[in-house]
Amino acid sequence: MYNLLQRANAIFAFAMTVTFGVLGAIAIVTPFLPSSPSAEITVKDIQVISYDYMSQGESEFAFIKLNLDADLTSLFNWNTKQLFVSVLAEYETNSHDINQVILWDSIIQSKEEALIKVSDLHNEYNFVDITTSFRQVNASYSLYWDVMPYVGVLTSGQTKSNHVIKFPPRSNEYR
Amino acid sequence: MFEDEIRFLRKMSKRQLAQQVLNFLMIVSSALMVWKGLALYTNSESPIVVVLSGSMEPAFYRGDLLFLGMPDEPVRVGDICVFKISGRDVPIVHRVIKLHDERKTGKQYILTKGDNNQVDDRGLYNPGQHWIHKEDIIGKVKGFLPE
Repeated sequence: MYNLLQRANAIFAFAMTVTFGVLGAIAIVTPFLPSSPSAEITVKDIQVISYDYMSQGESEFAFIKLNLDADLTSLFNWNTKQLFVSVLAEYETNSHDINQVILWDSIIQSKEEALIKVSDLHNEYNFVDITTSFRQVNASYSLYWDVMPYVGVLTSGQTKSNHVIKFPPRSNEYR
Repeated sequence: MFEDEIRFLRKMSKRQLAQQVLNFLMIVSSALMVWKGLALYTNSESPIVVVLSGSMEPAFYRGDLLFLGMPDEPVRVGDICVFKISGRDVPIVHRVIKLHDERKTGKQYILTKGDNNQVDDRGLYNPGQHWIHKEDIIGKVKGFLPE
């Protein structure tokens, strides 16, 4: 009545349905798992130096040294593949009301690595503004993270940035 | 090669043949409706994309499926966006690392970079182009299914 091919087909179709059902259930449950991440950033030093920046001419570059202390281990559950963590600088200028620049990032792939302690974090990427100058700018620094699951919805979070620092005037050489 | 099928088709009356053709068209158009409906719901022209390169490893590998949405709110730093460089057809999936919103016009100046790349995407943009804008973005990555 039923040959081998029909039975194999039926089994395969059922297996597919079950697999998708399980993946869907995992995806739905994951956002409800509790987590309590915490992080603290303190700025140790900022220097502003002017260089010629290919895309916009003479621009002010900020060189920042920070202390980063973070405990993101609670974000690691059985559905977490990795965390993308970055230090974010946010500020506003007269011409641009929202400016967000990532200064440093790191990919964390295990719970042990999620206890982050870096004292002397330098900005990995150029910290330069689209208006080419940091005059009159106060920036706040926070930690931003993206949780990447094995299956499901991407979630993100950010610490409250309460440490606001004004940029110093331009200096002539890097100390 | 198709002799059996052709013989089978010849045996049917014109009405049965027409019915078969109509059935086939119904299935095809239902699939199209579901796809377009999904595009409308997520507000993105292409709500499901396949990862084409390894520039976002180890988060996304080639062949993974990404679910996109394009909410009306502005793009934020850290968002993983799928965008097209004007003049090219290839969609790119990278993260926003710099963002400057013009106060008067609300225009967003966006710089992207793949997590696995050492340098930002300015090398990929058109010559002379240093930023991309919201219009270039097809969608933000909301969910993910490994291949």
